[in-house]
Amino acid sequence: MKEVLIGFLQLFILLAIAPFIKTFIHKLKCLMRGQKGPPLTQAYKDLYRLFNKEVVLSKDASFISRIAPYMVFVSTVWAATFLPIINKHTLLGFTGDIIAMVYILALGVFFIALYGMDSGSAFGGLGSSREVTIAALTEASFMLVIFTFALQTNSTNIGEIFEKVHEFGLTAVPVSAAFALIALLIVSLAENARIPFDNPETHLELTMVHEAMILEASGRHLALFEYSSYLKLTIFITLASNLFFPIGFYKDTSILFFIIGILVYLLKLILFSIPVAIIEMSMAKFRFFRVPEILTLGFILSLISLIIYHV
Amino acid sequence: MDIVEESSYLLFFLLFPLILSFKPKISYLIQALISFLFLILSLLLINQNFYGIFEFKTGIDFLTFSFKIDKLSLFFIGLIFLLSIATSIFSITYTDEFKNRKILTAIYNVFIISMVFVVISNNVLTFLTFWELMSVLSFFLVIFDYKKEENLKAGIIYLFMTHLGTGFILLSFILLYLYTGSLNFNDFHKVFLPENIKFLVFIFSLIGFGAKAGLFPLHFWLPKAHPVAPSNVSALMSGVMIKTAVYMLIRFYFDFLDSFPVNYGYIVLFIGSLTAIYGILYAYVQIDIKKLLAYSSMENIGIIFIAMGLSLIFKSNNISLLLGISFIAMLFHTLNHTVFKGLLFLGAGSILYKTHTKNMEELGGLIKVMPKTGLLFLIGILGITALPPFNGFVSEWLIYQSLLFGSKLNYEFISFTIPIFASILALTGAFALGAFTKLFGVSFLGIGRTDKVSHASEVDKFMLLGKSILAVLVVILGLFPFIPIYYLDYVLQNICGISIYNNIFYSSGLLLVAGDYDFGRIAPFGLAIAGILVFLVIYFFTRVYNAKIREYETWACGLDDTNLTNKAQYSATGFSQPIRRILGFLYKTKEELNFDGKKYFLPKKVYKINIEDIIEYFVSKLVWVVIEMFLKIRYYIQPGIIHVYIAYIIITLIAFILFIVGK
Amino acid sequence: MVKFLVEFFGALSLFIAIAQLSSNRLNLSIKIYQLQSLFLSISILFIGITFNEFELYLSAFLNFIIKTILIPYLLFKVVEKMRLDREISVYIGITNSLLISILIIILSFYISIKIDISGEVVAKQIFPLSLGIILIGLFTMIVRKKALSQILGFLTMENGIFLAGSSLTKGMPMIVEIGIFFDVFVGALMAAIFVFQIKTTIDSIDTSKLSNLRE
Repeated sequence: MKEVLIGFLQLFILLAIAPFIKTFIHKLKCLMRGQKGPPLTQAYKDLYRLFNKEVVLSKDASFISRIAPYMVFVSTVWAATFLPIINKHTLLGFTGDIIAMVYILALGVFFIALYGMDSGSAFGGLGSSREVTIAALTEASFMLVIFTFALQTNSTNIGEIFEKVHEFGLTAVPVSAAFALIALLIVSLAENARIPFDNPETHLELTMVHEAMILEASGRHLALFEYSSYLKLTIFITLASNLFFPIGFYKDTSILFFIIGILVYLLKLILFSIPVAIIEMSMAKFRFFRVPEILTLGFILSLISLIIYHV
Repeated sequence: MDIVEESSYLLFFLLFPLILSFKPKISYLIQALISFLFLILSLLLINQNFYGIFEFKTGIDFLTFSFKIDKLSLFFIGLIFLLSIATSIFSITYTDEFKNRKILTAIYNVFIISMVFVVISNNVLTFLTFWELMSVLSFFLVIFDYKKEENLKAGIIYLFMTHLGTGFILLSFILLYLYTGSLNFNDFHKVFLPENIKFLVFIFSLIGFGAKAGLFPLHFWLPKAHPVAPSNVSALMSGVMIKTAVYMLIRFYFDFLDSFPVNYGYIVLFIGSLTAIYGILYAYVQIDIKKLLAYSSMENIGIIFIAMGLSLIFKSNNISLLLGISFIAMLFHTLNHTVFKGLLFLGAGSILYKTHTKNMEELGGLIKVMPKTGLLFLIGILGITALPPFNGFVSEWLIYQSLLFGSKLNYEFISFTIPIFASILALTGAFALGAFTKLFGVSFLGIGRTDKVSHASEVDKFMLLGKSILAVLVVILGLFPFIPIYYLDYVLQNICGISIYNNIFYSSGLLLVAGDYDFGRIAPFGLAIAGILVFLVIYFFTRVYNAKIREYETWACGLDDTNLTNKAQYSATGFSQPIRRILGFLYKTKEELNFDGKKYFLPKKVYKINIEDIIEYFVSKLVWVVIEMFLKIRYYIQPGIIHVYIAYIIITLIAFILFIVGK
Repeated sequence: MVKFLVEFFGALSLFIAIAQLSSNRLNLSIKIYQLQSLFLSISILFIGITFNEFELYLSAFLNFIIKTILIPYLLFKVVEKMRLDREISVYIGITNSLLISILIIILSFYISIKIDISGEVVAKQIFPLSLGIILIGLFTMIVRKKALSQILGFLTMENGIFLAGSSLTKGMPMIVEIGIFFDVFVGALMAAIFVFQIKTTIDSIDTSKLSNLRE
């Protein structure tokens, strides 16, 4: 019973913190540019407002458009239920491992790409084509980064991977860890449609990827898409922070440790979102055919990290 | 033994549909019923202690038709009949439009019979008889629409390749015969061979059956032959015919050859992964639905061979648990591929039946005219792209686990390179996602690109029923993977003498890889329940909260409705353009832009792209060079000058005289 | 912990060497080189901390001064002065050369398991890492057309040799080290002058055009 409660709590924390992280990165960027930036609650307000608006659907759209936003959101929440943030006991930890998580996130990509193509607009197809191309190149690297840790810890269950990483640390395999870290950085930026792969803040540029697919979305559909993109970013940051900064993952389940655990987790999230903001501020978006080159770099780094983990 | 022989007469039931071929509809219906009976029978027998050998002697001495039914053949028999149920029901109305449908029905029925007899034959002659029968019949089915030149070409390439394969199969059987002095498969069991002869048998059988299965680089007939056959037959060819090659290879490597070094498995693993990545990269750029599916068959065969290579590696190392996992993964993926590829080919057949085109560029928006077909097709795609909780995911997950175990082996070279294979499998999965997103997105979503779509309508109930059976299986095999694994475990016991069901399954109904290697666990059913729950909660929360939906036209940069034509949509060619450009060195692309009529004032432009298989290109070049060389030699021997021919006569005369004198 | 840091920064220098292959601008390449030298100096600094030898501290410091500041400054100057075309031209495309680099890395790690490194080694992983850097530097020199990129490839290779040297030998004798630094610096200087010459002679620094001088 206690474990179920812990699971719910972890899911709740992820769901609650996700919009904040997004706004935090945005705010940080604005501050570094010398702008004032939105208040830290902006994303919550956006979501609230969008949920209240009516949905406008294209008359050429089929039932795919009606279910895709839900499927995308469900797949992201699903992935979140696997992810332990402060304790091994997750809500659905028993039903799947980290490979399942990667494929579940792929389910979201699949439906969002279909959504883009459903209403027959030119932008949607463009976005889907690019998203699928990027996903094809990143998913493999993501998988390999994960395998690196799976082999080190002899398990593909995320809870056990995190537990063992926290127990033994990364000092045994520094080379592998260095490559995996950079590969995961590249993968996370590409999967979450951040600069330099895609710009999350733009509409109606011919270079957009993620936004092009959801251009037709409105109202609660848009809210669901937005929310799932916030959540996905948070999932990736959580994964990175728990793998590469293994502090504060407590086995103990007493209340006090829990509170400390949550605080440490929040600090780690903020710490790991700073580089994202710095990269976004200091780099320009790549042109599209430069992206695969960087993704190949990521792929190669992840492959190296997997090959040399035991040398 | 008597009972076995008696029961073998049940196989004569298979002749019923054949005899009824002059009434195609009834014949297909009977075929479906009989297939269902046999499927049930093979399921019942597979966990019994059943082992049957029966022989039919003919007047000729050495020609004895000998058959054996063991667990492995039962599994493949079940596979054939499983798909046969669906395709036969589908064919009841699908074959309406064909001209010689009685002949089609007859060939179809004999084709199924020949496949069944291939997997139960127990000596070389029986096997070769039915193997050839199967190949020739499938050749007839490929060129069934013989008036199109494309079909004839594909058929001839297919015939050539399949006989090249048979030649190599024959060689490996001859080698086995030389060392056993028997043609019976029973005598081949764990035969002792010298090391180099063993390697020759291994390579010859891999080439021979690989040509049938579509292994890289002998694959190029497959994407030509499978798409041009009638769709019900394409489903059978992709779904089960190429699996008979997998069956025979399992016979060879797990039954005939006993112990072999670890590099045999490594070779299979290597070729399998090349096949997988090559197949999916070509599937990604196709614009013909059935061609895409054919290339994806190649990819899945590659994945099956990855699992086979791993199980061979584990077999050489005597790690029984891992051998079991990868063996079951191999058979499970075989089963899964049969199910979803059958479903997708039948779906493609429905599209072809209603729109008379399989070119994606002419389709679009089909989901509005064929909603049920669209949904079934979507389920098939979810299966083939290995998305949880559908069936492809479970078998790929098992393969991933075996790959991870593989890199823990004690061979430096293997543990160094296995991560590369893991990466190739991951890449394959990701590209499959892209390829099938394109397939579904372009042909089913958006606005119809030609009139062909607007004239289409939903297919009738037989065709829907055929597909629904497979679609239900996609879901069931995914949600309850322990059911097929329970049956596959018997096959494993029969072939390798080990059982791992209890190791990878635990009480609460979940799948787990346990033992010394504590690795991972999944429970697709729990996953699905959770997903549905989350979906319902969110759906009702948002709907109850605010349910307004307004329909309006698609936003087209401020242009009005009339400007938004179907030309603005992304095309299939455009969709795959980034990959085509990034991996340009892989494709042999020919692009053409033609101006119709006036060149400068509003010209009508026609863009053509043709992507040729690069291996096919090289092979045809090579063949051309060889032929040219032969022709040149022929040219010197037979120059067409009368004096040379007279000289030949004289030389021959002198040679004869010398021969006789010398004697 | 120090061993961890040595290897971590060594790995980062290898990463930078691979990233060098993926750069498509001359300026970016120089910046990448700068970053690599920085990581290298940090790695050597940590080696120095392990052995606690003055020479290693000094070589880390010299490394920082010469390779992170002086040589990049010189190269930037060259690019700026000559208004070079900043695009990089290659024989093998970026994606493909990255894919080849994976084979190089596997090779270098495979070799390093075969070689038994005996004696007191600060971090075992450094040897394959530096081997990888050396080979990738060579590879850069092969695939890139422009003279300046080839200089960068050479410098990358030299960084690899330096890393291997200081990790395996606990720091070379002072005189050798200073000699090497001097050599590299003068080498870079001379190469820069050569680039000037090539540019003025054939109006491009594309070395593939040097074969035009044959007649």
